[in-house]
Amino acid sequence: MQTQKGAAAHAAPTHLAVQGLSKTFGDHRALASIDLTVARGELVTLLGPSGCGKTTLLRCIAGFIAQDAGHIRIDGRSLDGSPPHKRNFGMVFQGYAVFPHLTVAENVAYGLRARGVAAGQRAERVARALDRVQLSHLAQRFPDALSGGQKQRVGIARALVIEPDLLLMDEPLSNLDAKLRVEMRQEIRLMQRELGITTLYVTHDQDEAMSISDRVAVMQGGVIQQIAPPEVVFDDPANAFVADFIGGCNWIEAEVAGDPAVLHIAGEAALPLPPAAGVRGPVRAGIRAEDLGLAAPDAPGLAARVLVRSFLGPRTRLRVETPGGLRLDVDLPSADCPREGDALRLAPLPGRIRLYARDDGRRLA
Amino acid sequence: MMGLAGTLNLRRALADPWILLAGAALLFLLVFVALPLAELVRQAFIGQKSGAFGIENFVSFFGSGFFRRALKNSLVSATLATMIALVIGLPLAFVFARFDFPGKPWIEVAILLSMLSPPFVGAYAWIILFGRSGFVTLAARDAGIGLPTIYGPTGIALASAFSLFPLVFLVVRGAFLRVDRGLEEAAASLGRPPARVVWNVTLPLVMPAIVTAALLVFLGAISDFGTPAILGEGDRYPVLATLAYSLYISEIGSEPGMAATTCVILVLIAFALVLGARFLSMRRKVANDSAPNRSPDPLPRGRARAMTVAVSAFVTVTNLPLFVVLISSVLQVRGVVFQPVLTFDNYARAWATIGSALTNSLMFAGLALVATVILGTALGYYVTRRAGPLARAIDLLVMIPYVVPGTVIGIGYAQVFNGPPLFLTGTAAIIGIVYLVRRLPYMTRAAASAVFQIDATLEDASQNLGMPPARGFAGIMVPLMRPAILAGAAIAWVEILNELSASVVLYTGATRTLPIAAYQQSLGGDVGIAAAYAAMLVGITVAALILFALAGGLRNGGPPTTA
Repeated sequence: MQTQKGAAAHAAPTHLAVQGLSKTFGDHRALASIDLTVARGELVTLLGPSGCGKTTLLRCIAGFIAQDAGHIRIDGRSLDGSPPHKRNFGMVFQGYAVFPHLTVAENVAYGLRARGVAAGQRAERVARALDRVQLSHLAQRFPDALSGGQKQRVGIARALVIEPDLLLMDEPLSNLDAKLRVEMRQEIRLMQRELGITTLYVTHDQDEAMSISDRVAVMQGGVIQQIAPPEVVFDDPANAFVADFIGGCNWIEAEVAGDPAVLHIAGEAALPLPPAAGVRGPVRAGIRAEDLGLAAPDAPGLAARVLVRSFLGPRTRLRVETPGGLRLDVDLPSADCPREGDALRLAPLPGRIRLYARDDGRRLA
Repeated sequence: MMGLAGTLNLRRALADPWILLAGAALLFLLVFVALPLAELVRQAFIGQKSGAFGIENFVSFFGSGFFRRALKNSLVSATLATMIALVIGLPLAFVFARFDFPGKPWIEVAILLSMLSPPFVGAYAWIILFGRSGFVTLAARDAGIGLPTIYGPTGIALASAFSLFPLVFLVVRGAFLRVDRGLEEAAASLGRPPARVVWNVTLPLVMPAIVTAALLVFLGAISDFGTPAILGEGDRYPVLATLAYSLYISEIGSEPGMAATTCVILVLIAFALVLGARFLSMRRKVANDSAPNRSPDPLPRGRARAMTVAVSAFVTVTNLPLFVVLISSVLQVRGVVFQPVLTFDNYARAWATIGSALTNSLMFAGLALVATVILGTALGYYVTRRAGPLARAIDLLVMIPYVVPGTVIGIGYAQVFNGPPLFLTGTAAIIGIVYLVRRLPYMTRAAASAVFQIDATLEDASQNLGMPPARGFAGIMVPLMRPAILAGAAIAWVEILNELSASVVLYTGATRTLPIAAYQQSLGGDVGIAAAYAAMLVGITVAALILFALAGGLRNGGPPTTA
C-alpha cells in the first residue's frame, strides 16, 4: 500500500494521531472514520475538491468542531473534549482573520497576551516573529492599510509566535493572486523546515499541495483516498479518483483479454499491456495526456485526428478524436507538433496504462 | 459511540456560557412576552358576559357601532398618517441620497430628532397651535376665519406623520443609495429625459423600500397611544389603542374581556402588516446587489447652498412641534391660554408638582437601558452566531414586541402579573421590565446586524491563539460591535425615556414617570406645566443625541427594520 510506503520515508516519531474520526452534519457524512498520523516536523496536505471533508477534519483537529466518534492525540495525549483555546495549535485562515482593530504588532502579541507572557519578553518575541515574515516596518500599522499578502504574513506570524505544537493552515493562499501564491508557498515551506514545525495544510490546489508537502492526503467523500509523498500520489495513484484529481486522466472503458494481456477498446485497435498485468475482464483504463505519444510506424496505435491545439510553452496539448468517437487529450513537444485537422497515430508510453475497476474505481494494475 | 458523542456534547454545552445565558433569556421571554400575550388571547375568547369559551367578544365587538368606529378611526388616521409621512419623507430621502450640500449631517440629526422625541409631545404642540385655545386658532378667530378642528383624524394623522416620517427617510434613502446608477445611465443613454428616468427606472427599483416604509409608518401610527389619546380626547374619537386602554382602565364597568379582544384585533392587524411587508419585499426583491455604492453628486456651490436653505426650512417645519413646546414652556399662562410674556413660572409650578416623576424616569430608564444594552448585545450575538432551535426561538420571541403595540403589552402585564406567582403590579420592576422588553427587539437587531458583518473566523482565531471564549468576546467582538452598540444604546435611551403607551397602563402614584406626568397635564391639566414637562423630555432627548453625536456619530445608527 502507498500509505506504508509514504510513512516509511519518515523515521521521525508520530506527533499527531487521528484515529477513526467521524462527523455527520444532518445526513451529510463529512468524515467517515478518518485515520491519519503526522510525524514530528512533517508537512501533510489535505487535498481535495470542496465538500471532501478536508476543512471539517482541520476544524475538528483545531477543536472548533466536536467529532461524533474517534480520537485525536498529540504526542499520545488525547485532545477529546479539550476546547480550542487549550490546544496550543496555531491556525492560519483563508480570510486572514486578522483583528481589524489591533495593530500588526498587537495582532501578533494577541496569543502571547492570552498566555500571560510578560511585556518585555512579549515585545521581543513579537519583533522576532515580524522579522521572520519581513513585516517589522509595518508593526504599528492597522490591517486595513495592508495588502492581502501582508495580512496573511501577519496571520502566519501570529500563529507561529505562540510556538504551537501544531500549525494548521486552512487554504492560506487561496485569496492571493497567482504570482504571490507561488512566492508565499515557497516561503511557507522554508519557514516550516527551519522551525521544524509539524504542519497540516488544507488546499484544493494540487500544484500547491505537490510543491510544499512531505505527504499529500487526497480526500473525497469524507475519506482519505490515498496518503503518500507527492511523487507517489502522482505516479502511482491508488484509485481512479486520485488519478483524475491529481494531474487528470483520459478515461477509456475497455476489456482486458488474451495471453499476453491486451487492452481491447470497442471500435479501436487493441493496445498491448505489460506482461505482469494479471487482470482480465472489463476495466476503466486511465492514461495521462503526457503518457501518450506518437506511435512508431510499425507498432500498434490508435488512429485519431486533431480537433483543438492549446499551446502551453514547451508542450502543446492536443484534443484528438478517434474514428470510433473516443476523445483524448495528448501532450506533445511543441516542436513539430501536428496541426488541427492532422491525422496521427497514438500509443501509450510503455507501462503507463493504469487499470481501475469500473464499479468503485479501485486500482487493478 | 453514541455514549461518547453524548458526553462530549454535554461537556461542551456546560463549558459554553452562552447556552446558560440563552436558556435564561428564553425563560425570561416566555414569561414576559409569550405569557402576557397568551393570556390576552385566552381572555379574548372568554365571553365578557357569559363567561363561556367562544367568539362572543368578537361578535359584540363587530356588532357594536362604537367599537366598529374605533376600528375605522384607527385605520383612517393611520392611512392618512402614512400618506403624509410619505409626502414628507420621500423627497428628503431622494435629496439626501443624491446630493451633497453643506450642513447635511446636522439636518439629518434634526430629522431623526422628530422621530426620537415623544409623539405625544408633538400632539400637544399641535394643540398649543391649533387647539380650541391655540395661538393660531385664536388669531384666526380674531381675523374672522374659522379653522377646521385639530381634534380627530386630521390632527392625529398630522402629529403621527410628523414623528414617523423619519422612518420613510431612513428606509427609502438606503434604497436610493443602493440603486445601481448604471441602470439610470442606461435609461438616459436610451433617450429618456431625467425626470422620466426617475419615474420609470428609479422609482420601481425603490418601490419595495417605499412599501416597507409605508407599512412601518402605518404600524407606528396604529400602535401609538399618546397621540390619539391627546388629540382624540378619549372616547370622543376613539381608536383601538385608546379604546383598549379605557376598556381596561375605566374604574366603573371595566371590561377586561373586551379590552383583551380589542388588543387581539390590534395585534392581528399589526402582524398582518408585518407579514405583508415581508411577503412584498420577498416577492418584489429587486436584484441590484452588485451595484457599487456611489457617493452623492456634488452640486455647484450656489445650488448646494440653495438646497441647504430649502431642506433646512422643510425640516424646521417638521420640527415645529418641538420649537412650539420649548417656547410655550417659557410663556406665561392665563387660564388655558399662553400669553406673550416670558417667564419661568411654568417650570416653577412643574417642579413643585413633579414629585418623583423625574427621578423615577431617570432611574427606571437608566436601569432598563443597561439591561437592554447588555441583553440585546448578547442576544444579537447569540441569534447570529448560533444555529439551532434555541436561537430561532429566542429570535422569534424577542421580535414579538416590535410588532405588538405598547398598550397591548401593558394590558397583558397588568393581567398576568397582578397576583402570585409573580406579583409585580405597581412595582418599579414591572415598568423597568416593560421598558426592556419593548426596546429589546431594536437593540437585538442592531447588535445582530453588527455581528453579521464581523468575520466569524476572528473569534476562531482568538480562541485558537489561546484566548478563553469570554475574554475573546470582550477583546474582539465588543470593540468591533461598539459603534452599533453605541448607536443602539443612544436610541434606546431616548425611546425608553419617552415610553408612554405601556407604562401608562402599569404605573401607580409611586412609579409615575415624566412622560406620564406630561401626558396627564396635557389632558386638561395645567397647560403651562404640561409644556414644561414636555420641554424637559425634549431637552433630555436632545442632550442625549448631542452627546451621542459627539461620541461617535449617528451614521451607524438608525432603527433596524424587520421587514
